[in-house]
Amino acid sequence: MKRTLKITAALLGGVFLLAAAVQAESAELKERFLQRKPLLEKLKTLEWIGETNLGFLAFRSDTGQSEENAQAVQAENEDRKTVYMEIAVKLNTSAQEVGKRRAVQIAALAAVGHWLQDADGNWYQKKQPGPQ
Amino acid sequence: MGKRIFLLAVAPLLLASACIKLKHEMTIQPVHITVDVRIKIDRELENFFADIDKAAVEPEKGDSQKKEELK
Repeated sequence: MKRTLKITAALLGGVFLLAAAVQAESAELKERFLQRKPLLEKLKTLEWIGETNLGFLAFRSDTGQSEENAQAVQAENEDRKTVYMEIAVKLNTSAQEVGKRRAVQIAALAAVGHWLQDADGNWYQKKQPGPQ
Repeated sequence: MGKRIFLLAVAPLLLASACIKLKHEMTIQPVHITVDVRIKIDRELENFFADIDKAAVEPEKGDSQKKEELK
């Protein structure tokens, strides 16, 4: 009886630790996204980078590809990939499908003048919404 | 005799009707599932990125000037 209790307690402890670890990883990811945001927004405003239709960032040309900028874009894309994969596993779908849905959300939230990619892969600049 | 002729006439019709396939049921279901998955994906993405998307970024002084210079 005591042994069963010990095993149950150990299992519950393991589950709790795992949940705490996942939570901590998620918080770290969010923190990294927030830290990079000012620089990436700046690069978007300068029209050096844009948002692809797969939910990732991409340089639109060779302009602005300094080491710092390239590293920030790469790190952002890697973290985004991690999030997409986690959601894909959870919902039994593909990371690419999750990325495509994120691209739709990003396009809706994007500031006027930022570069985006349409479903066919063509780049376009977000325009001021017209009068309703 | 009449019965036999009737059966011979009806048999091909019965066989033909047995071959009819109802396809519309097969096409409706995947669309429904796809929409359902998309809604779930959107919800998960919003849960994760809500704070990040809401976080305001102050535009750095000189960004617009630099942009104009580049053009």
